Amino acid sequence: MKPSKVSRRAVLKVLVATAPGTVASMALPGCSSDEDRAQAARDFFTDPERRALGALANIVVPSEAGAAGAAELGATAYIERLLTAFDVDPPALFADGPFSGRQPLPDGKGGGDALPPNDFLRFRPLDRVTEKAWRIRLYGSKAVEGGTLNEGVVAPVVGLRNLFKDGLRAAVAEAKAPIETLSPEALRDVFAGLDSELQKAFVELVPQAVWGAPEYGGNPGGAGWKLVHYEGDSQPLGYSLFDEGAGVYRERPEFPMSTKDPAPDPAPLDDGTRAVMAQVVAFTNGKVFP
Amino acid sequence: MSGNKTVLGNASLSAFDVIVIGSGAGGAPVADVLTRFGKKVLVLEAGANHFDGLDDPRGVVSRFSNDEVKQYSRGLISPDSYVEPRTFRPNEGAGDRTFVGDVNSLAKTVGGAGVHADLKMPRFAPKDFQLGTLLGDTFAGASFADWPVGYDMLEPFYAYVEQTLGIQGQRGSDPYAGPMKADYPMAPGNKMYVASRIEDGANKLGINVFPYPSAVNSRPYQGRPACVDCGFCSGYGCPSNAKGSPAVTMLRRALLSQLCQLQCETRVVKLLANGAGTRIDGVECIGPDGKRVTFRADQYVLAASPIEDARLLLLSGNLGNASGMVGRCLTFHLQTVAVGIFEDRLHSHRGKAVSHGFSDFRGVPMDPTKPLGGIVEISGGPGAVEEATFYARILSTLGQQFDGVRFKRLMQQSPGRERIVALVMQAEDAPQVTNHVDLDPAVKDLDGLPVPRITYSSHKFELGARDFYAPKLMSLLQASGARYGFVAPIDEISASAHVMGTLRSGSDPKTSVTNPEGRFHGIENLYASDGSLFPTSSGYNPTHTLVSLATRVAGDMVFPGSPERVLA
Repeated sequence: MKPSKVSRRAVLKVLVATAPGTVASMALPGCSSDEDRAQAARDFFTDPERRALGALANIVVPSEAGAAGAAELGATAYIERLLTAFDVDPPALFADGPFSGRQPLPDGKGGGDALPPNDFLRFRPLDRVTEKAWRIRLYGSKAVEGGTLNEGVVAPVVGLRNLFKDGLRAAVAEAKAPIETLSPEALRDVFAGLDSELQKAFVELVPQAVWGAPEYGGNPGGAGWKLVHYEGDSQPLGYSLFDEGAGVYRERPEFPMSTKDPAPDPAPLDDGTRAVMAQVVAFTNGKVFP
Repeated sequence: MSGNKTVLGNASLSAFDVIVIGSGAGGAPVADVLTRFGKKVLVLEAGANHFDGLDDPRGVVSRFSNDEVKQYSRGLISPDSYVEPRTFRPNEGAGDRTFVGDVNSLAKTVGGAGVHADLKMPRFAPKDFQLGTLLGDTFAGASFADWPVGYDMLEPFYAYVEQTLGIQGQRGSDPYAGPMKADYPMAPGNKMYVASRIEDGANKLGINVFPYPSAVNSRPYQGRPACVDCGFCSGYGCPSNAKGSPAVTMLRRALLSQLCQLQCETRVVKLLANGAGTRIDGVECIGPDGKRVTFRADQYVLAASPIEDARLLLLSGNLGNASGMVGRCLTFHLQTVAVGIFEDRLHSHRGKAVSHGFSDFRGVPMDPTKPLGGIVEISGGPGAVEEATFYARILSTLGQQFDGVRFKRLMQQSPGRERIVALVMQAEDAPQVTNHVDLDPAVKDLDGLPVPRITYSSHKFELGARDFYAPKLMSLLQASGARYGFVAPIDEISASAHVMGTLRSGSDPKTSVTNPEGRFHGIENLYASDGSLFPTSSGYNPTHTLVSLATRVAGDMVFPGSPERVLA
C-alpha cells in the first residue's frame, strides 16, 4: 500500500496523545528552503575543484560496478553545504525534527501507513555559543572575533572552508590531468599527497554524507543506506508497534526487533573482513572463539 | 541571540523564592516539587531549548530526531570544545594539563543529560549506601564513606520517581536489588534479539538476565505514547517523548504551574555571596545576547552537574570550601566493555540500546570471590555513521593505509552494527580525594572564564574488579555464540557519562561539603541537588538515585526534617 500524507496537525495530535486542542500555532523554525541551500553551496568550488572533490571522496567510498561510490552518493553536495552553512538563514547545520516523512505514523493498531511531513527540511536556529563554535570550525579561529581564545596553549583552528578550498585548488593545479580522469593508482597518490588534516576531513565527512540523512545533501533517496542494508531513520513507526486495543506490541515482519531476520544474510563476512577482525582481536588480546 | 524561545513558563514573574541552576535530572525535580508547594522558581539553563510547547498545556513536541549527523556527528546538544573546552591530567605531577578538549562533558540543553540518555533507571542496592562501614580504609588512597541517606530513607522517593517519570521494569527480577514496596508502573517492553542471544549463553553459566528498568514507556502513559524501539535512544533526544526524561515530565509540570520561569541560553558565571560567605545574595549570568544580568532569590540550588557545580563555586571565590573538599572525590564508572562479533546478523541497532542486563557482577563488599564490579548492560549497535567512524578508527589504529574498498565491505557486511554486542559493566569507582576538579590556570572559554580541569586516575580497586570480571564477560560472549571477542582498552580520559561526587554530602563539615539534606555547610541558603552529592558511585546507573535524591532535597526545603511529606 502506498503511504498517504497527513497534516502536521494530525502528527501533533498523535504525538501529544491525550492533550486537548492543537499546537498548530507553535513557531516552526527555519525559513530557507532546500533549494536555497543547494544554490548557496554551488558557488563555493570551481567546477574542476568540485569534480576533484567527488573523485577524492571516492577514495573513501569507491565506486564499483553495481555499487555506487561517494560521489554518486552525494558527498560533494554534503561537503559543499556544510562549508556554506552560514550562507543561509538559519545556518544549515542541524536539521529540525522530529520526523523525516520517510516512515509512517503508528496507527495504534499495530501498523501505520500515513506519512507525516518532512521536518528535516527545516534547520534549527543556533544559540550564541553554538554559532561561535561553528564559525570557528568552518572559517578558522583567526577569522572569527574572539576565536583565538587559547592562543599559545592550543594551536589555531584551520577552518574547513580553507582546508578544502586551498587543498583542492592546489591539487587541481598540480595534477597533470583533470583529477577525475586519473587512474585509480594516480588518484590514490593525489589523496596521499593531500595535507593530513584534509585527508582526515575526507574520512570523517564522506561517511556522514553517504550514510547521514539525505536532507544534508548526500545519501540521495537513502541510496547509501540501501547500499549497506540499513533501514535508516525509523521514526515515527519504529520497530515495536503498540496495539492499543490489545495492549501489546506487534512487530514488523520484515524488520523484527526481538527475533531473527526472516531474509537471508545479504552480505556475509568475507575473508577480508575476517582478517580485519582477527587483527582487532590480536591488537586487544581478544579471542577468536571456535 | 538565537531564534529559539529563551524564556519559558510564566514570563511575567519577576520575584522568586528559589533559583535553580540547571534544568536536568537534578534541577527539574526541585522545580517540580517547589512549585507544587507554592514556591516561585526561576530555573537558569545554559543550553538551548529543543522542545516546542514544553510550557504549553496543549502538548509538547520534541525537535529531536533519528538524525546521526545532527546529534552524533555535529553534537547539537554537546558542549563544543572549540569554545567550551575542558582540560585533563592524570595526576598533579603531570603538569598543568595533558589534554585540552572534551573531558566528560554532559549534554547542555533544556532537560540536561536526561534528554539524550536512554534513561536506564535501576535503583542502587541497600549496601551501596554503606561502603564506608563495609570497606572502611581497606583500600589505600580510597575514601569510601557512608551516605548520610540510606536505602530505606530513599525508598519512597524511588517509588515516587518511578511513577512520575514512568519506569518500565519487572519487580524482583534483579536478585541483588533492594526491596520495592510497589510494582513498576509499566511492564518491560520488547526484548531485543541480541539480548535473547546473550541470555542463551547466560543460562549456560548461571547468570541471571533481567529486563533493564528504564524510564521509557512500554504503553501510552500520562499523555505520552509507547516507545517504538526506533534504535536512536542512547545519545539521542526522543522524537516522540516516549522517553520520560525529566524535561517532559517534571520540568514540564513545573512550567505549567504558572509558578516557574525558565531562562534558557543563560549561563550562571558567579554566585554573589555576602561578605562572610555565609549567604548567597544573587547570581550573575551571561544571557542569550551575551550581556551580563543578575538574578536574586531567597534560596539557590546547584544542579548544573558535578563538574560545573564545582567550577561555579571556584569561580565565585572558592565558596563553600571550608573543608577543602569542593571538587574532590570526583567519580565516574569504570566501564569495562567486552565486544562480541557474531557470524549472523543480530540487528542490534533496533531497540532501546539496552533492553536487558544482569547484576551478577555487581559483587559483594569484602568478598574476594565477588569483588565490587557493577551492573552489566547488554548493548546493541550504533547507526551507520557511528559505525563508519568505528571502522575508520579501527583501520587507523591498526596502522593501515586507508583502504576504501575494505571500508565499504565492512559497512556492507556490518560486523560493527548488525553483528555486534557490547557487554558494558558499570563498575564502582573508588572515590579518591586526589581525583578532583579545579580551574585551569590558563585555558579559558569563549567568555574568558577559566575552564574546569579534571585530575583523575583510576584506583586499583576498580582496576582489580575489571581484571576479575573481564574474563567472565569474555566467557559469556563465547557461551552465547560470538565468533570474535575482545575487551576494549581503557581510555585514560573516561568516556563515561556517569559523573558523580565533587560536593560530597555528609554530617561532618570537616569531611563533606553539603549536609545530609543537600544544604552547604556554612551557607544558609545554598543547596546542591545532583550527582555531586554522591559520596560513592555504586555499580548501578546513577540517574534514578540522582532524581530521587533531588526530590528529597526539595522535600526538605519545603518541609525541613520531613521531606517525604511532598510525596503525599
